[in-house]
Amino acid sequence: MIPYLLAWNFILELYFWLALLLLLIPTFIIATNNPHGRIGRAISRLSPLRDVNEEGAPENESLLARVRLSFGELVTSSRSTGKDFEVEIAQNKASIEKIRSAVITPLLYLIAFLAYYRLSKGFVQESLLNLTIGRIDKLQDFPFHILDEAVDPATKYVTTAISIAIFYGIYSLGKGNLTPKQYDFRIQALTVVAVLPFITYFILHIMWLKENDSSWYFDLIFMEEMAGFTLSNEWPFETVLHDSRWQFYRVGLYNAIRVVLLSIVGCTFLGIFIGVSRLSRNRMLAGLAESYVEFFRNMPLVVQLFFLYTVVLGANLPPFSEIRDSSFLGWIFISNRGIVGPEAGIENMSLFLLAIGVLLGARIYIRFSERVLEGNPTVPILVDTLFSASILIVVYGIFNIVEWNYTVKPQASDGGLIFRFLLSLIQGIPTHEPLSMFILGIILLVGSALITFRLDEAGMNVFTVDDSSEGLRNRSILWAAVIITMIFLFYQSIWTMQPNLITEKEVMVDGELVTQELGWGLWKFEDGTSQSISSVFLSLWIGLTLYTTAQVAEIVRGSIQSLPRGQVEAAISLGLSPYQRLRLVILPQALRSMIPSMTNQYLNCWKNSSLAFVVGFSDFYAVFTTIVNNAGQAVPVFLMILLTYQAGSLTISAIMNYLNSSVTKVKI
Amino acid sequence: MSFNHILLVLFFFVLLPEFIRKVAPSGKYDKWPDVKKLLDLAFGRVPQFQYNAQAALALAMIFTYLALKADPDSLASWLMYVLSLALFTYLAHLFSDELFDTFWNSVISLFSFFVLYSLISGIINFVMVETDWTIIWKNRRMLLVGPYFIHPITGTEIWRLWPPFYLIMVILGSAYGSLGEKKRNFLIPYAFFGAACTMFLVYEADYYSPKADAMVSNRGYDYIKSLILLLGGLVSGCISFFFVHSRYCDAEEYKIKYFQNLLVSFTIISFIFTIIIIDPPGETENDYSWNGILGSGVKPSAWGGLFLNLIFASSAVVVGFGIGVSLAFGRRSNLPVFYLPSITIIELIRSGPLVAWLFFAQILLPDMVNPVWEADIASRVIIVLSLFFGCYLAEVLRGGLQAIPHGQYEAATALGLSPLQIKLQIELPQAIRTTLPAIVSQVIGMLKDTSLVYFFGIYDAFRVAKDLPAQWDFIGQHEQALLFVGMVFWILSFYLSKISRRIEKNLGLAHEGGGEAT
Repeated sequence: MIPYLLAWNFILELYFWLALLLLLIPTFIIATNNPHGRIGRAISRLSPLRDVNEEGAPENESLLARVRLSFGELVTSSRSTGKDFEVEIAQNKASIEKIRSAVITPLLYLIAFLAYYRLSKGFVQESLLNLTIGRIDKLQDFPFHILDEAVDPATKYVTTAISIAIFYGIYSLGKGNLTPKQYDFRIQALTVVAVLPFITYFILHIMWLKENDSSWYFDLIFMEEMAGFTLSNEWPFETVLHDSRWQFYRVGLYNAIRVVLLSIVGCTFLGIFIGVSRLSRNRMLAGLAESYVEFFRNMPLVVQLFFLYTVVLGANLPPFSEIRDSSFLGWIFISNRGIVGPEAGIENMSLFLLAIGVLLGARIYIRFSERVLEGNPTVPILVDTLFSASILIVVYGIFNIVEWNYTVKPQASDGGLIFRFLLSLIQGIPTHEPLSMFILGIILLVGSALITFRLDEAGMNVFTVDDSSEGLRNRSILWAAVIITMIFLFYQSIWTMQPNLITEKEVMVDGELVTQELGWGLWKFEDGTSQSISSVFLSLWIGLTLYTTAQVAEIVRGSIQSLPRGQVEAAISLGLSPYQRLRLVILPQALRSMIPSMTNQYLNCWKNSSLAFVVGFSDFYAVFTTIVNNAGQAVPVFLMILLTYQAGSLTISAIMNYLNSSVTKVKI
Repeated sequence: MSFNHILLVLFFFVLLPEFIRKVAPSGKYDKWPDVKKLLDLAFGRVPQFQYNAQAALALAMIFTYLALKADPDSLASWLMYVLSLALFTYLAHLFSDELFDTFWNSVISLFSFFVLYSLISGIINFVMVETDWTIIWKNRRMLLVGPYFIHPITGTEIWRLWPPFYLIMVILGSAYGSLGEKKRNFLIPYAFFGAACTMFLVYEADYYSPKADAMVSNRGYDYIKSLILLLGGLVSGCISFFFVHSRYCDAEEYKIKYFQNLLVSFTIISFIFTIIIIDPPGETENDYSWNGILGSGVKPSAWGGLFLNLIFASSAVVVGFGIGVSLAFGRRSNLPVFYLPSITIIELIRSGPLVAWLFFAQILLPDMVNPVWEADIASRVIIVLSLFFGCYLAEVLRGGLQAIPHGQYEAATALGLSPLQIKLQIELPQAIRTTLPAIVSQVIGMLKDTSLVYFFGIYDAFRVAKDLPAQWDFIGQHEQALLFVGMVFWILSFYLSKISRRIEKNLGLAHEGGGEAT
């Protein structure tokens, strides 16, 4: 056993740490002990040299008698010795402080020293190992190499040197005779020396991994190879087995963007509704809203998504074998695989755009019909018309998203990739190339929006709108008429086809054609007659919306409750109806405090969309994990995942920051 | 007669007159009765007691349950249903001033009641009448500790989980005892908790399997031993509570603080002790090593169940707190050696979702740390979870640190405090006090996010619940397991948020806001 104890291995070390800790606690107890307390008096009874009590311990008592007295002191109830109370507390604290500076602090230094030694030893050893001759090819010309047999002793010396340097540095910092500049320099130097082992380890180790481990690979060539798997959700793109992995990434990205955009829109509206209901005077409505928020906020999102997918949209919907019995008039079929609807397409693009144009025109009319605007209204109307036209162009681009052409044709004048790309975009405009139209539309949209939605110098909106009940009624009638016209025009401009479920097939039996009934596993809808929304998409969208709504509702409630009460009372005394109060007084002010938190929630929603793999939806994270399983290039895939999420977060933050600056222009 | 019919009756015969009165010229239809008058007519004579509303609510729920339980077409069910509706109407009468004063208010009340009633009767129907909860009852131990500890062969290792249970009970009892509240504030919830634990662990060790049509033993579960050990743990918690309470209920504040510091050190030591007992370090098996005394132990990848979620969450929060505080202070520093790495780390880790970092922990991290440390999956997950929590905490604390008045620094410097003392004793308490709600919501979020580890082959509570319907007796019964695990997480999160609200109130942070919207 003795040689075992002398060997410096892990088990001994743990003994050492445990013994140190176990020694520390009684030391702490005894050292900080109140000499007037029970334990203190009991100890004083034992030793005749401590003269704490007034009586003192009799010197000629036997040890047994003293032990008995001490035990008695321990179990009797405590009483004050009659000294002044404040003095007693001060003496106790002084004794604690003395012991702490004399015993505890050096012990802590020792423990920290040993901990750092133990922690950094492995890293230093590995770094030195990586610096030996011939281990890393890239460092062949590095002047500083170590022999293989020198690694172990060098480790000990280097680690000890670093530890001593650090703790001397901490001690010298604590002495307190340094100027601020010296202090700053020393603490930075200390930190650099302290993290040096770990940083050199990581750098050298990753260099070694790059050369010796095939999965540490920093190129993107594998993304152009064939993917070798299929996706489950690809609308509106079609992917086949032979497509490159870039195509799969693109589809996954569009899937994720679609789900997140829909969730953000849904959760904002629903969240504002529930947040405002939470503050309603009607106790039942407030209770309902509160129970909704509490229920969905405290349940994990994974459980909610899985429950939606498995139970609500899985087990509780009719199975695919009974799909014929669960259809609405033969146009919409619902089963646990999803909702199947009629195939539709745009027959007449100009009529479609006219429908949207009607809506936008009504908007311009309402906006300018009751305006309080100085000067000639022609230019603002024109800018607003440009804004509406750019919306139409963007819609055109989006509805032809499948035909976006990213390839760049080589030109005679070679000006680099970006220049060629821009040139091809510009050349696409006269031919109505969808991608060019989309980008042109976005530019016009942003430009005209910045002009047409500006505020004046006082920060007020340039337009006032009639908010009385009659005004509201008139506007509602106008909107209703516009929407009916829109629906009519939509209906004229699209073609629809009823989904055709194929349940039989024709087979030659004995020379003649016989129709044979297929098993439900082979049923399918005829190509080109149907579109489907899969249950995975629905479960992800609904689950994400419901979860984020609860958070948004809390934010809305908090921001409304943080308004000064006088605002609401003034609005009431002005005779505003509840709806007018909400729209004119409360929500504009609540928006100022709401927007940073809402940004956070939108970012969370974007990042939570990565949970699509729980339900099997192919967003880009799921696609990437499949790629890693197939191709094994984990490092570049991980970097692309991070970059994609960061890009999305930056976009959302940029938009919300712009909104934030526009609502905080007015100084309250 | 279903509830929809009654609603239709209400809408047409009660609300329609109100609507007509609202839109018609004034005075013409004033004689028609409105909802409030009708309710008063029906229930005005009922005598008022103090707990009328609560009693009516309780009775209504009981009658609803009975109505759902009885045969759907029988007279008894119809009678119970009518009685419960009558009691709900009585409740409406009690609150009719608030709920039915204007027309739109009445509409909202009726609509909310419809939604609420459907929800409540649906929940009662699902939970108590329709569903068979045997799947949960039979697998309750697996949901708690994972499949390794209840397997007939490896399940003998479950003795390792009892010492931590005892230690936790002792620490809980002592901690509550040092708070100095009335004894019954602790004892009554503790009695309920003890009774629930006893029932949960002990009752009906064998269960009736419908597929096999026989009483089947629950994998050889010896419930008497568990009962004795459990009672020992509960009693030791109670004893420690009484002991500490009698000593410290009237003591000076500095003595209580000293005892609480002692308790914190004891908790840390017992945590290390727990880890050593469950998974003794080292691999050799001679008599003097940990492995010789305690056996080879259970590796962290074999832990499971709810206790694994709690271990992940608490380790992530504790380690992440240190990381977060360092990063928060580092970010605010003026020295480039501190703020550049802090900003890089915070922005890097916050740029990806947690699943991306768990992917990193599973695939990339082993290659990076393997020469120095053979980390198994659970340790890697804890590292990543604590980094993640630390970065979010750093962002939250940044806001709190920015809100400290500058005079605090000047006063502290004038007093001669060193920078470290200023950070720990002046800045951090104020920052935590201000941002406590956000910190608690991050902790709750971390507890919920621990259910994501199921993807890596770790049998946490969610994975066990997901895989339970694969058992032969319970094929296809997905809802019970998922709802149960969801409810357990829900209860923990709700309890934490209630505690945080109470702490905020005690710290004086709860503000009386303005703004009633509608």
